[in-house]
Parts: sequence; structure tokens; C-alpha cells
Amino acid sequence: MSTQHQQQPFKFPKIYNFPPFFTKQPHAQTYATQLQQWIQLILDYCRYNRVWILNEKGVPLSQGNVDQDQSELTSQDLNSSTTALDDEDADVRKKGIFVNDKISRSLDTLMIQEIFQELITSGNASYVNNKRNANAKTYYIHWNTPSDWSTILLNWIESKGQSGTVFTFYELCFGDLSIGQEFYGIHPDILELAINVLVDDGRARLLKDEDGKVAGVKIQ
Amino acid sequence: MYEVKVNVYGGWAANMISLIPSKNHKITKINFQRPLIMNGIGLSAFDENHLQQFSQLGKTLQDRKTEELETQFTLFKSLLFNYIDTYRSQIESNGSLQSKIMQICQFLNIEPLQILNRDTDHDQFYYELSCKIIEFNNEEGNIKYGGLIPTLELLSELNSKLEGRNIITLDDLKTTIDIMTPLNSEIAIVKLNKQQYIKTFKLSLSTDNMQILQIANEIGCVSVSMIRDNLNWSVIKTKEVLKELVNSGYLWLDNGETNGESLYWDPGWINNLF
Repeated sequence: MSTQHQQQPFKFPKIYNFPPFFTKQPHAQTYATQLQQWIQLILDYCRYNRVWILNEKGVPLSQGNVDQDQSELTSQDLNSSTTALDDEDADVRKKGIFVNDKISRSLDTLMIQEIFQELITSGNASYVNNKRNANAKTYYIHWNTPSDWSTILLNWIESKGQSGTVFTFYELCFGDLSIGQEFYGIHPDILELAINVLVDDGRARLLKDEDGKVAGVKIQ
Repeated sequence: MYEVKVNVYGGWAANMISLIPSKNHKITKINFQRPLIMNGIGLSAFDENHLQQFSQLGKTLQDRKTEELETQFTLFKSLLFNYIDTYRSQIESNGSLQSKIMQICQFLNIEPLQILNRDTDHDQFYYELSCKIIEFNNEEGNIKYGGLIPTLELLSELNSKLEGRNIITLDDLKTTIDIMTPLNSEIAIVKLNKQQYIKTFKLSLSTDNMQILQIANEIGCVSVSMIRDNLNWSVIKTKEVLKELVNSGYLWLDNGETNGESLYWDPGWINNLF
């Protein structure tokens, strides 16, 4: 799915080229509209390009199919090497979604924070626990919320008649059965969030090996 | 007499299609031919190529089905319109029949505006139209047009859904706006730069406001110095009027210019840029 998309870059909405879109609007009602448009744009963009993580500048840190064995950086490199087709798209990868060089505008930090806050409130984003650098804020973008993903997983398992089968996380992400599914190549952390939803609902059980590490999951 | 050659391993799916329309031909003999090159034995025969042929066949059948249904649907719709036009007076006098027909229309996603007659159902027609205007304003008005809806765009939007039945004209809009005035005294048709707009916001458009809106409307954005130089207004007055316009949602503020002066944009220009 994502390979097709790379040939046809994301089409930004017209409002992205409207200079005041990058200034926080003083009028409350206008601001509400503006905020909503930004959130829609971020979710659409991330869904289209399968972006899993954005940093506080709106630069995608992880996107496309994430191989668990690869570090997040390499998956980002993979993507940036294939680009330079469309300026806007390449700019987002370099400078973040909140900067539009074409009209030389960038959104101020305060509003960016409010956007992320709103995304978190609505369940469409969550903080990434960053052990190495606690100051750098990064966010998982849930264009499908973990509970959406859990529903998708559950439906898929039922449709394939795999209820009760034990899967490793890797098999869920990259198994032959998952090919063509929306969650194929999902970011492992987000998969974990989705599985946790299932665990809470009593629909999944985590299986641990001798060392107490999660080895697989049984969904039914 | 026809002889049909079926290539078992190659494009047999394609041959299936050619079989379907020829049901009035008599097939006497089916000649199974082995292909010269075998694709593989067992499961490997089902390589991508074959799967693609299956999905192609599926798509063709599906497309044909959709097309048939669409034709049927259009036919049914035009017959329904005919029926309504012919028996209009009976339908109107019979309440249960009328509600049945409304149900059918709702089910088929037919705009009530398409079936109402503006001469006999005068009130209902304009009532329906006013609902459409409010809907349009709520969905698009604020973000795209900043509360000033260009009548031309509204008309083309409304008419695009009506498929040529009961074309709405500017006069219809005027009648509707008159009906709506008791609900919201702010609603009115105003004229800027020869274009007519429907104004829904709570703002008395004074001459000052109008002058600025006209400039913004023509070139996209205005700034304090631009207004001061062109209209010979004092800076304080200019700032005050611009602030008022921003605070009522007619203009969007832009602080991103490198020379530091704020620009005030007409949101109608979102669609004109690039």
C-alpha cells in the first residue's frame, strides 16, 4: 500500500498554502476551525504516509513499515532516500509539517503545543516514553486509535479462523497472513498499545518466556 | 456451429468471459489444449499472474453489475419523477401517499427540492431551500468564506445536486432570504465588487468595513499601511476596523511576514491560492 503512495505524494489541502493558517487566530470561533483543520491535516498526512511518530516540530521520526530488527532511524532513512519528488512532502520530512517554505510561514510553538494537547485529549496521540532524552518530546500519532487497531486485529483473526492461535508480535506485523492488512508493518510500540487494549478487554493473553519477556500473544 | 478452445493453464478466465455473452450460440465441442509452457505444478501454478486474472474477472463482473444497477436506478428515478408530476394534486390531497413518497425519496437520496413544485408548494419549497442554505453555511460557510457566501457558488452547489430539475435562481435565493429574516435579522444579501454575497454573521457592515472587505476581496490580503496609504485613514482607525473584522471572523490574521507587518486575509482566498 505504502509503495503505491510513494509515487503519488500526499496532496495537501488548499488551506495549507493560506498564510494566516500559520498564525494563531485571535477570534475564538475562527481558532476552533483552524485547530480542527490542523488536526485533520496531521491525521490525514500521517495516515497517508503511515507515520507512527512525530517529534514536537512535526518531523516524522518513524514511518512506513517498521521492521522490529531495524532501528527507527534506518526506516526513516529509507524513506528520505526515495523522495525529492515533491517539495512539500520532502520539506515535511526535513523541517516538519508545521513549516511551509513555499509561502515562508511556520506555525508558532505555542499553537503547536496546543495542537498536540488537543490530539492527546481526543485520543489521537500519546507521548513516547523516551529513555535517552526525556526533554525531547515525541508523540505517537494514532490515525487509528489503539482501540481501532484492536478491533481491526480482532476482526482479522476471526475472519482468518485464527482465534486462539498464538502469534509472536513479529508474526502479527510481518507474517504471511498479515500481508495486505492495514496493520502490516505497524510500529511495534503501537501494536503493543493495541494488544494491551485487547488484554484489558480479556480478549488477549500475553505469553511470557522464562525471563519474563513477552514472547507471544493469544487472541480469542 | 462454434468451437471454443479453452487454454487450461493460460488465460482460461478470460475465455470464461467470452463464453458468458454467447449463450445463444451453441457450443458443440470444447477443445482442451495444453499450453506449451507450464507455469508450475501444484500450488505454484497459482502464481501472481493467475491471481491477477481472477481479480480482473471479478472486477469486470462487478463493474457490469454496478453499471446495470445504476441504469436501473436512473430509470426508476425518472419514472418516479414522472409519476409525481402527473399525479401531483392527488398526492397532495392524500397524506399517507405523500409521506410514502417522501420516504421513497429519502431512501433513494433524492433532494426534496427536486420534487417540490415551487408554484403549488410555494411555502414548502422555500422552507426546504432555506434549510439548504443554513446547512451550506454551517458546513462550508465559516471556514471557506468567513461568513460571506458568494451567491454564485451557493447556486452552483445547490443546482449540482438537483440534476437539472427545479433550477434555483438568484430570485429564489432572495425570496428565501426574505422568509428567513424573521429568524435571523442579520441575514441579508450584500453586494461587494459586483458580486453578491449572503451575509450571515452578526456584524453591521458599515461603509468602513465594506471598503476594507472590498480591497481584501480583490487582492487577497490587506495591511495597516496599505489601508492608510490608499484610503488616507489614520493608523488608529485602520487598526480598529481591522481588529473588528478579525474579531468577527471576516478576516484571518497573518503575523508571518518577514518585515513584521501583520497581514489580514480574506478566507475566500483559500481556494484561490495556488
